[in-house]
Amino acid sequence: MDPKLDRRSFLRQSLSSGLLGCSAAASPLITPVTFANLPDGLAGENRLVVIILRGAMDGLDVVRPVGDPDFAGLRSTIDDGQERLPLDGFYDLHPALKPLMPLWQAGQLGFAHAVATPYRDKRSHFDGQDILESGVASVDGVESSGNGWLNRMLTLMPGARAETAFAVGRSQMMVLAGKAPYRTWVPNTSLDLTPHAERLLEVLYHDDPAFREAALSADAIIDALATDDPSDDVDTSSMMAEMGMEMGRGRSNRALIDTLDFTLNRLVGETRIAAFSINGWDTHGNQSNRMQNLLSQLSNAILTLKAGLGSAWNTTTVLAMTEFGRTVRENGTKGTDHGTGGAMLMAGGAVRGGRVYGDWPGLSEADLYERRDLLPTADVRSYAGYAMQGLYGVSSSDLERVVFPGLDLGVNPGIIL
Amino acid sequence: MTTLAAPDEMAERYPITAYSTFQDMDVESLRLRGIYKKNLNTDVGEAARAGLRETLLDARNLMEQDRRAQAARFVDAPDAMREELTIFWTDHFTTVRTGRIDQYTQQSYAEQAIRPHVAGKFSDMLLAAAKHPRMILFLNQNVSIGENSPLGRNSQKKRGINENLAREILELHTLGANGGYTQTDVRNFAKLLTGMAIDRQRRFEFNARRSEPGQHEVLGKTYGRRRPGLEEIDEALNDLARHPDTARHLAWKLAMHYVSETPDDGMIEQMAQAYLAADTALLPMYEAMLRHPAAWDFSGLGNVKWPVQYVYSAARALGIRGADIMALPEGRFRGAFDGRVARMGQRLSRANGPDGWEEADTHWITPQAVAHRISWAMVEPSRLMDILPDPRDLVDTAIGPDAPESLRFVAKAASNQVEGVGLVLASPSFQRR
Repeated sequence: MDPKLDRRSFLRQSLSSGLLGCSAAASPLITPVTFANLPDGLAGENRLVVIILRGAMDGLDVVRPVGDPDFAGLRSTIDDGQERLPLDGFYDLHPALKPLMPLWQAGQLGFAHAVATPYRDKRSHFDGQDILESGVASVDGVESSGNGWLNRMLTLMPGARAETAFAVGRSQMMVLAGKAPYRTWVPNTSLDLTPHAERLLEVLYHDDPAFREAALSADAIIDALATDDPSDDVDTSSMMAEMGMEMGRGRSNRALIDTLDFTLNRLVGETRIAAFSINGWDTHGNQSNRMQNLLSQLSNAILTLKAGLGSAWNTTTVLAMTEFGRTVRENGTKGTDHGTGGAMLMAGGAVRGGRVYGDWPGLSEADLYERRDLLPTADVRSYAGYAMQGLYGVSSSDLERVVFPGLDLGVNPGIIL
Repeated sequence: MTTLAAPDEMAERYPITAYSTFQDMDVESLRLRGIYKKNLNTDVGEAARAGLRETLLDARNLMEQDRRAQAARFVDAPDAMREELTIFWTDHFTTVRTGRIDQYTQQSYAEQAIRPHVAGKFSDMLLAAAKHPRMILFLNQNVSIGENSPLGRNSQKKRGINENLAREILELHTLGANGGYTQTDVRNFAKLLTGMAIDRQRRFEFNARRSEPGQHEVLGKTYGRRRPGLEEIDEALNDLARHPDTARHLAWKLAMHYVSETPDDGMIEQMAQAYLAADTALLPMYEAMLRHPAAWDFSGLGNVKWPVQYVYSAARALGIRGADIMALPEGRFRGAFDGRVARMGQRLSRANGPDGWEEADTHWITPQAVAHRISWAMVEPSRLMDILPDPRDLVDTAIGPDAPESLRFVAKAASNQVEGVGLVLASPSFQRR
């Protein structure tokens, strides 16, 4: 038996061995949130929040190319045409995102359209999300990459402190998993053991790295939360109530509220990078109603972050990305099927918003990808790359070699102020 | 293996509600809802609403009984192989609830479409699952209508093909995401599947009026040569079941679940060959897996059990009997089993998507989930049993002679019996296969 069976030494061991890194593909109802702390001064005040929209958000419905003559009539059951929110003359915004219009007007909301990951043709959510989060070019590369692109960006930042990071969660955000230290958190953790039983568990878990790490992190987070100096944290629990945030009903919304609470709690502290998911975008049927609910969640999430961050919002960037777009034409069930090109949302005071980035490929039959999908004209990873470049000064060559191996970054349109 | 080939004794001892019972309740609930909506704020309407509530409660109670039966079968079966395989294959053909009554039918679906075939032929299971009303509803086949079908042509409303079922059969149920099919195959297969639907009695039907006419080429073979009907759909499903990509995909999934997250290539090849040679019979494939040396290599860590398997196998190891489970007071069963399993990350009959539950250990062995597993092990055994087994004996019954020394030490060193039993059940040796 190892005489030094103390929890702290295990914690250090399990962190330095970098054991995490596997995919949790489509997980509606589970909204883990992932954090990374950066040492003082490195990231400064710049914050990056990545929201993974699992299920394939219909970019054509969210940012509607009404200026394209071929768009008319394509979405007759999805778009009731009752309310229009013109953005720039060519695009309209989905009416459910109306609460975000002030951000658009203030230049704090923008989009990239006709974007996609390099994933093509099979249109599987699971492979699509793996590619989106790993940031590599093909399914075969996902495993060998072993981690997500946000994590690989962290590895480029010298001096990230192991002791400030740990992982907790029912499922992982692959986008931030990998070698660089980070923490994860999921609502409602509880573990109550006598010290004697705890010590015996340590004996049992000693030779099984997965269990050892899981149990020790569970302990560690309880310890950390218990010893948190309350003066370090802004109390956000009543923040949303004060702002009158109406998040709707249902389990997944409750989880999102908790997720946002905790995210804010950390972002106003040391944390500079956070990632979480909003799930359920697979709108094969009844899209009109479902998008209403989903986009309300998304806009509430963004407005909650804005309100909670206060002046820090001015140096914050929120990126909302999805695994692929949906078919240009409606299916027979008032919805859309899995497609290719889609849209990405960016918000925050650090963003050069008020515009829709990207080259529009057109919607005539000949312009479509495989005569059914929006043709991607840019790699969505480029935009994530531009954000990291603008926020943290990651070099183009690092972005193209380390963060997104094989990516051609193209010309940076300057999405960060 | 011999018990698998024998009659299904557990199914007789602990029966599960016939799916048709729920279908009838569904029809009844729709009828009552119609009356209620037409007679708001009247006695007739209120009576219908009360009847609706009662129907839903009845359905829920039946489901609870069915869930108990599943647990009881698992602990009482001489070996739990059929129970394990039913869980595995029900997950392979995952269905998630789509309606109010439908949320209670997972067990009945498995009983009808999956369990009879776990020791039979995969082709039969595929046909039964793909045509099961719960699957038809879950993957939107009930609203997929051929654009050139009589209904598609005459309808005022915009109607068309929904690819969902066709895609998931190819991607998840048969060939696998890496299988040799194209988007065109998905599209054509979806066209071929039109006509499969649900009738007014909530039963499966083939409705020729929805069926897309013409010939449909799927994986290089043309279907739809004869007049529209189930025959050609069955033929296509049978062909898919016998495809070499399907054989490898199923072999890989089984091996991944029962042996290792990185299964041996040679084992997969042998399993696939056994399956193909036996015309999709599953027993030869299981046998090929168990006979392969890689299945007996215990040098690596085994796969972590899913929460439901963990809790059932713990109850089994403790010696809890099926009759005890059936006799638990109302609410206690949920509290000790399904509710706990949900906290460990597995909300039964509500998998995340059509691909079912995750295989990767990292998905299940998270701090949160481990905390709930430990807490089950520490708390529930003493609530479920009057007399707990001696932790040192439990090491032998639950894990056997290969139990690690550290576990034997811990079982001895525990400060009391409750803690000792909890530690044995919380050990990696027990949580892994």
